[in-house]
Amino acid sequence: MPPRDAVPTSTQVSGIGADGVQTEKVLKNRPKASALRQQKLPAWQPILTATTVIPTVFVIGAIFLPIGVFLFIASDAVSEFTVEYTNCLSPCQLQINLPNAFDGDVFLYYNLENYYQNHRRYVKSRNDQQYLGDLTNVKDCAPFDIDPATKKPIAPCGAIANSIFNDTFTLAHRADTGIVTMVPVTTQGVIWNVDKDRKFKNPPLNDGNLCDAFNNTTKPPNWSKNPCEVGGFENVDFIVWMRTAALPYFKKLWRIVDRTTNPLFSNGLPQGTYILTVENNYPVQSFGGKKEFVISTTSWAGGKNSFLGIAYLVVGSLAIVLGVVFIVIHMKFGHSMNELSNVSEIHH
Amino acid sequence: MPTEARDNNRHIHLGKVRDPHHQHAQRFCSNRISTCKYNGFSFLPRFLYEQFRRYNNIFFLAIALLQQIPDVSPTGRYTTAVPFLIILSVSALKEIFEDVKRRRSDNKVNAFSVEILVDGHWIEKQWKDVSVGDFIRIDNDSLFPADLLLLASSEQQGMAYIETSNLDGETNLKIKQALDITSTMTSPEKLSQFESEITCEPPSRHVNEFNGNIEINGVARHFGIDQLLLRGARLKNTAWIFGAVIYTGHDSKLLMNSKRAPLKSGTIDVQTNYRIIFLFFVLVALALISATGSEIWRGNNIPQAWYLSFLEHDPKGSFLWGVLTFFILYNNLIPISLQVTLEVVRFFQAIYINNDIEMYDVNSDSCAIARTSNLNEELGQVKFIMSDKTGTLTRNVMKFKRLSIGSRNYGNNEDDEFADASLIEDYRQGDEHSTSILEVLKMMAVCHTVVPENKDGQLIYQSSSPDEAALVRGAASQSVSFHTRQPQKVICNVFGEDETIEILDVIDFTSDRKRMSVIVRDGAGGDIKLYTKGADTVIFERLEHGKEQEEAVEYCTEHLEDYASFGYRTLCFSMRHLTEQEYSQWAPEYKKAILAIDNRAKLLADAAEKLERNMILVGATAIEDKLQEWVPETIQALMAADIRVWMLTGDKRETAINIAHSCALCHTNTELLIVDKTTYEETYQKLEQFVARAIELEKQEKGFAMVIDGKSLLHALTGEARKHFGDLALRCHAVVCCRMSPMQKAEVVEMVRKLAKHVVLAIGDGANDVAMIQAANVGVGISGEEGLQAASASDYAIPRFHFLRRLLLVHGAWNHDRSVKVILYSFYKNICLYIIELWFAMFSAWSGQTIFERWTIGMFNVIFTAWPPVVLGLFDHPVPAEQIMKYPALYASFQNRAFSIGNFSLWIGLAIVHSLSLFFLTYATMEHQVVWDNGLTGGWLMLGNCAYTFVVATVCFKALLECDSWTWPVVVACIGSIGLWIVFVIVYSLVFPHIGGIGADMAGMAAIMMSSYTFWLALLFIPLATLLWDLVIKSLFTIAMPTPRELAVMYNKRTTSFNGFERLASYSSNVLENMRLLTSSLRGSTTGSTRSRTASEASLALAEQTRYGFAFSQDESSAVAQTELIRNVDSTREKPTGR
Repeated sequence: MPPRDAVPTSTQVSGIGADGVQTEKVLKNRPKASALRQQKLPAWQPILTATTVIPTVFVIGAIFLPIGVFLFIASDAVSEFTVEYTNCLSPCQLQINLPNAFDGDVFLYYNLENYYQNHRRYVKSRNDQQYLGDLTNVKDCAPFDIDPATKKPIAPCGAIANSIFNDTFTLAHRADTGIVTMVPVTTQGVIWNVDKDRKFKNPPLNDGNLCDAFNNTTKPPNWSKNPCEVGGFENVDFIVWMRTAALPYFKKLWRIVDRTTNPLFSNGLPQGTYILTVENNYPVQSFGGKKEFVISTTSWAGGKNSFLGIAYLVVGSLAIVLGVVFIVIHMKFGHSMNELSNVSEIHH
Repeated sequence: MPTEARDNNRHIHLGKVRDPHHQHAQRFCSNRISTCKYNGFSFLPRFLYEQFRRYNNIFFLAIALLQQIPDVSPTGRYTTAVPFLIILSVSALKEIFEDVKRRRSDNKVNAFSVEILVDGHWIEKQWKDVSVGDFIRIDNDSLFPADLLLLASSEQQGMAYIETSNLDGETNLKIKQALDITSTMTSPEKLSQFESEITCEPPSRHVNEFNGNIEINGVARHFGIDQLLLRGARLKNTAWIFGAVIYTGHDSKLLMNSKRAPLKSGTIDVQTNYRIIFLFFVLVALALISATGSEIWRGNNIPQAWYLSFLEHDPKGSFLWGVLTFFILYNNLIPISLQVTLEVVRFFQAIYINNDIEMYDVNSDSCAIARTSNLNEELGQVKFIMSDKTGTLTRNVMKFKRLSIGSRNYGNNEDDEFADASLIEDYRQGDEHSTSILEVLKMMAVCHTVVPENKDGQLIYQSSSPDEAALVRGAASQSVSFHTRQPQKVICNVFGEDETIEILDVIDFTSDRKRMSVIVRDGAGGDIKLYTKGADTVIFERLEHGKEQEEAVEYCTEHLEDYASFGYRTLCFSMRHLTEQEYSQWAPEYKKAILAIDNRAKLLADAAEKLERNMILVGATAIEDKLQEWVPETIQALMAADIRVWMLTGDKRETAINIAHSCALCHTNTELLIVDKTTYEETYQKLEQFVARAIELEKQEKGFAMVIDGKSLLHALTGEARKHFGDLALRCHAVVCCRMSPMQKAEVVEMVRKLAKHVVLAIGDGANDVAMIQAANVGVGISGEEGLQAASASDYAIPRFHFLRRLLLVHGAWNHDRSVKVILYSFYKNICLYIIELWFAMFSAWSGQTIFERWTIGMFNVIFTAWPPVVLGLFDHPVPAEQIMKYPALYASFQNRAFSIGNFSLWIGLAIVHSLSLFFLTYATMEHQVVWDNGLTGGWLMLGNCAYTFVVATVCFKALLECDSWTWPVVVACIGSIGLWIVFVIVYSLVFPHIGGIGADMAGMAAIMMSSYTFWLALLFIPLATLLWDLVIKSLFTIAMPTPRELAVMYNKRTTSFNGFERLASYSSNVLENMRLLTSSLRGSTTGSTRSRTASEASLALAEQTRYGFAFSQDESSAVAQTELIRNVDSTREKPTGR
């Protein structure tokens, strides 16, 4: 007499399993045995033992050191000359001696220090729609949106536009013979293509001139000239200024030396004496600011900044040192662990 | 009848008077049950209510609202609202999905079929269609769909056996009996003629109380709990019953008792909340500091800085506005996506659990089910397991295994059931020993309350005690087969010949007597014999004096010890020949005692005592309470994982201890600290004494376990004793609680939860475990055979007990490790990015200007770094599954990798260091601004976008570095996230001016940034240089002080030999401790048997302890007394079919 409380045995199940159709029906809840569901994807377990970390560190060192060297060489090849003119009375003339020739493209910058172009409310006070030609769109430009006197919209509106940098520079080369040659400069390549193509457009002219198009607007209070007289929104100096800087010590490209017009400068700026004439309009003394004029060449890595190259070299060397340290530790620990195990064996 | 107007009693019309169109005066609820959280209308309000109960959601809502104030938000108006909405909708999707699942499982229960009487015929309908007043028919082994009044059954006098283990956890069958006036209605014809009115109490939770009246033809009869069949119980050993439905659906006692599952939140969630609150205060502090900085800067620079002089009289320039601005700026320090990332991760972790083929049971075709997903990581923190016994550890299947007669020990442990041909061979010898064999087999076949039933030519034994049935079956398998019971006699087939044995008297089993006797007149010889079976202690002291019996006891004890070491339940059998005179003197006295009203129990016991003496020991039996598969292995593994295992059972102490031995909860040399006192003072003293003893045993490194019964527990949980009990409970690695009521189980769980902040897991299978499962941090239900009650109240349902090992060791340890990583990593990445705003504030006049573009800030958590934490949470395997299954000690070591304040601070510190490194390295690289050979400068976003790129790269590589196992999804997600940002930047750069004014700042920035070689070299350098220190520190720790996980992985990778493995381990004492556990569990699993020990050792250790459970699971106070039951049964009578 068989016990009636028998639990299902495996034979019953395998009996069902023999019948293919029924198996599917009966075992409908059986989970799929895919690697993903069963958490059985092929995996590599990174474990930072001496055997993995030592090669890693050495590889890092081996990659970093040459990159560091290249970067350092690149930065070293860049010539840069800076002259401060903050307190120079306008129109001021500064003599510059370039100790060596500045070969290739030569870029002329102005530097501003302690100038917070990245102040939140300042950055915000602009309207990119207006700069695309929609003159009446002055949203967000407060308090430089509508001129309180004329009730006309200010164009270009906003605090950034209002505070545009208005110093001008002329650079002249003085040969040993005493002949002074103006260094020809160009605005070609001073702004990013995107600014020219997508961000700054004058309003449609409608058969008139630019000033007709700007007719129903007022110039920003700080501006001395009407914007239409200096190229409207497509004014290069304006566009450069509107690309606000990230840090309170910033550099803006003013002009590039034109190497096509005068053969003297076809290879850049030759070594020698230069005279910089500055029309010093822009007030910075009140807030302790500083103004500089910069002449610089570039390398593939940009201007003169050896930081990244040195950093690569330092970290690369450190990695090599660490690798050595790891080897020492590894050997030392292996040794001490042997001893420890001997001790425990004695105790047993 | 009481008047209907006043009382709130339930009035039910039964039968013909119940017009289908005539409604009951009261409205009764339907039998459809629903455990859903939402319906179409309640979804939105309830969902929002649930969501905004969380602090962080309120926080982000506040931020989103604050951003609407003009000129205050540094990041625009919608940069919090949009990601927040995305995140809320992901949560909503998850909630809807889970509710649909609940609805499906409800529908399954609601759609169970049941037969309802309609127009004199049984019509098959669904459970949900059952309504109050219906007549229904339930067949054997079916569940009752509602609370029913038992009207009639297939058995004599309307008796029915039911199994209530789902309700109260008691394993023995209960006997219910229909009222005599209804028990005759055994056909649908009779039933459809039946009409009556029922008045009964309103629905209540009391399972053991019930009162009602049934009025038939104007005569009212009282009925009570003996006639009530509860929903959730199961009909057993009874072909069918007819019942009238009294309480349906949510009115039924089962559902009245089931609370709505409490919303459990894991310890990690609680800790995370604290961390978030901490960060909130950091945020407020930073906002205050920054606003102060802003004030100072303004004081020094405005109006001198003429380009900003328009801010001089700015109403939004005050300190408080500044605080608000910075509050919004830094709000992302609190990870907005953490909640949803965790939810998504847990959701998929739950899917892993549901899909684990190694937790799939072929027999029941069911898998593990994670019913809630927010406790996944809690499974990895379990310190206490509270396990139900019946149905969870044991199958509640009894098998007759061994037989001891004289010096011979029959049977073996290997076979499923008793199988020993030598028994019959010895019987055939025809000597004195063979008489003993015959007597034992006869006693097994006669001395019981089992009722045989012939069904389709097979004998089926019906019994309220599964042990007795096992013995009768055992005798039958040895050719002494009991097949007919009539009121005064039983007929057995003894070695091929029917033998009629007259039952003269039955002396019932009680828990005091611990024995049961029958007095029989042997059909063949006409001898009167007393057959007594019972616990060894009570039998041994009632034996004849003399050398012969002493010797028999000696043999028997030896055998019993052997049986006990395997956890078998044992019973001793003794007998005595009575003379006619002796019996006729005793019988009237006993009759008188039976009829006595006062002091009946004592009179009966006294009378029995007079007869039950000078007996001779004939043998002893061993019954195996079949364990579920792999129970001892599982328990050993769990204990090796440093989890304390408690067994909570309604059973008697002896039975409980027995099972504790067989399931490896304690071993033969484990000292049992038994608390069995009835008064508070005694319990207190005992506990105090045991605490001292436990400390002593701990010093001696000896195993010990506590055994406590329900009554003592009541005292132990009150007042001063509680402290001692808690102390003892924390010291014991194994605890057995016996004679527990379901509520007590829950109380114990709660008490242990309160003792220390440990995670308590409760596991059970029946409705009686529901309270405990709900009270525990994590509730696990066994869903195997029926899987309705416990499983549906549980957080995790598994088809087999032994899957608990995998659920905890693999899924628990993994998920905990993963979730902790997800949380810490989420904090890390947010702080790493957003604290950069603070560094930048120093360079931006404390104006609140962001260094990054506003939408890139908002999308950081939602897009660019959303995937690394998700893949960490889903694909990281800290240690291979096979390994942690093999070395459960690893589980304990993982608990130490917990979400501690130290660990949290480490990550936060790291985040700050990383952000400093990232910002200042970027600053130094970009300070000169000209990073192209075209000599141009990039402006504000050149710095911001570069820094952002480096942060994204660093954060994604950090995820890889933290990941313990690299699978392709991990690598793809981490590298892909960086790619995603690059793609985003390219696309975003192209937007302006095509879609409104969006993206003006970003216009062309991608081309500008990516045309710089310096940028690419910095991208290689800055993240690597930032992470190099992590790498170095991590490897130093791995080399010098490897964690057990690392050792295990190294071991697995065979980078070291096993010797080296141990040597490595011996380096740090902490690791050593873990290794001891690890290797001990290793050895434990290889040597396996701790049962091999000598008998003398065991008897020494267990001198005063009762170890052998005696096999009685008899229902003592049932509707029908044992004697009465026997006297009323005639197995030869034809049963009605009920059709």
